[in-house]
Amino acid sequence: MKLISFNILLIWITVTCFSCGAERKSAKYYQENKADLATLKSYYDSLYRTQPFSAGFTDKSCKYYVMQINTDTLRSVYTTDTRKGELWKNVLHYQYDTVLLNKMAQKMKHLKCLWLAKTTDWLGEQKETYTFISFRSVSIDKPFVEDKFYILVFLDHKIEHPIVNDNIKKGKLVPVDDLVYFTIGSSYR
Amino acid sequence: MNCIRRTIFLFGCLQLTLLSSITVCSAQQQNKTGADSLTPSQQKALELLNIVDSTEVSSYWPNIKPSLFFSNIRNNILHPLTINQGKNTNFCSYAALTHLLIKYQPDSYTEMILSLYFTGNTKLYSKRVIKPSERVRKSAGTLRHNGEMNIHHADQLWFLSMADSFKGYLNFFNRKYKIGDENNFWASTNYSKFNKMLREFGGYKVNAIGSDLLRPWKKDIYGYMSEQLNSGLVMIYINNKLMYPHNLGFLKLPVPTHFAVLYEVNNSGDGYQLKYWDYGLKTELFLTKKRLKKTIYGVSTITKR
Repeated sequence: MKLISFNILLIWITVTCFSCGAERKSAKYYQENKADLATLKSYYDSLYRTQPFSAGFTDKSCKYYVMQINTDTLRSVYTTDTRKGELWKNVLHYQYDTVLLNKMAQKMKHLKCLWLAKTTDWLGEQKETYTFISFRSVSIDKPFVEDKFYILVFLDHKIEHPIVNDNIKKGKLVPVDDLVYFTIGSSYR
Repeated sequence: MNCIRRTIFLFGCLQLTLLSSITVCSAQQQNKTGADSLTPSQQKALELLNIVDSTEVSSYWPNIKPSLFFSNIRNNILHPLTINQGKNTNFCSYAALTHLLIKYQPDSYTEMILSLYFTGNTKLYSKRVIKPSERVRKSAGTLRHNGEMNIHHADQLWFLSMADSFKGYLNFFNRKYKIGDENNFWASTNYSKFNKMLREFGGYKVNAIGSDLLRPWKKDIYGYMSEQLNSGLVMIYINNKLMYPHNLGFLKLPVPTHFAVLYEVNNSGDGYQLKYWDYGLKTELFLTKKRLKKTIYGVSTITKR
């Protein structure tokens, strides 16, 4: 019995030591990186107009990129670790501005942004499209910390809808700027 | 009142059968509407849709908005690729099955969904009658956090009815629907339930390998899948976390999480190029040999009816 209690205590101490003190990203993170985030979003918006796509990394060290190019009927996924050649072939095929794409990639790496995309949602019968950028929730990567993601949501215009207001009231959406919110999610894309 | 509706619906079906025999008139009409590219089955489905009252609210489905319901069915018939399970749902198995059903038998789908709407129940190909519970009937049309499906009232009705009528061991502890259950075990599908649904909905003959815990005992899973693609329609049971390449999470459970329809698989030397359907689009991606083997938990092939 004593041995079991000791083991439980040991596990508890280990988990506590590893998980405590891991600072989580919040509104402060947005304010500190506001300029970089705005630049990243402007690059993305500009490239998105050429052909819709999403982008991110496949690994924690932000070494390998993944790009998902969307057409009306097909989403094609390319990663730089296995399909770098094909990715560039398609970048040229869709005539993306490669200088801008390179700048965006550098900015993503700098910010350690895991995923960058646009998504649509329906509020009643009204369609709304917004951009989101995902990051790891914790500032310092430690084992045993909860697997959560910090997601910044950028709206194109002010949305007044009971669902949005309810999410803000419940703390699911936290306003950090005019038209910018953050949320914590279990999925980064 | 229900009997009257049922009679009207059945009379409509009879009327449709008579109408379809008058080929001259319908041929002229098709040319006018530019429906030449439609298959006979699609044409029959649209004709069936045209003869019913598309303005009346069903007493069985009080929250379904007729305009959204009928436009959704029409869109599904014309564009079966765009069927979407919605965000935050466990409806992937129902969506995959529906995608194939509408692609190959849009008339059967239309008959079934209209019967559900007007009479509250429908008979499947297997002769089994499904009758969604009152909870489901009252909830369809009220889903609010599921992306595109918020406005797809026919899909809400259809997927909720399917999930309510077919139960497997994953649904054992949650059998009564409440709002929000579309994203938990109430809507989950195990492999055996999925194959059963394939057989009952379309009357298909299904060859299946794989399970919920162990991957199929095939040395060359690529060879098997390409062979199956040559003999029929192939659906795959996969660990979706492995399909999208990322190494960000702390723990990746080795379990299947998703159903999709496989369209192509090609050997590209160092790996395989897959093209499959899910979430309203086809996806094209590359998987290494090792990852492909780890990803596939089941392969179901529809060979014939």
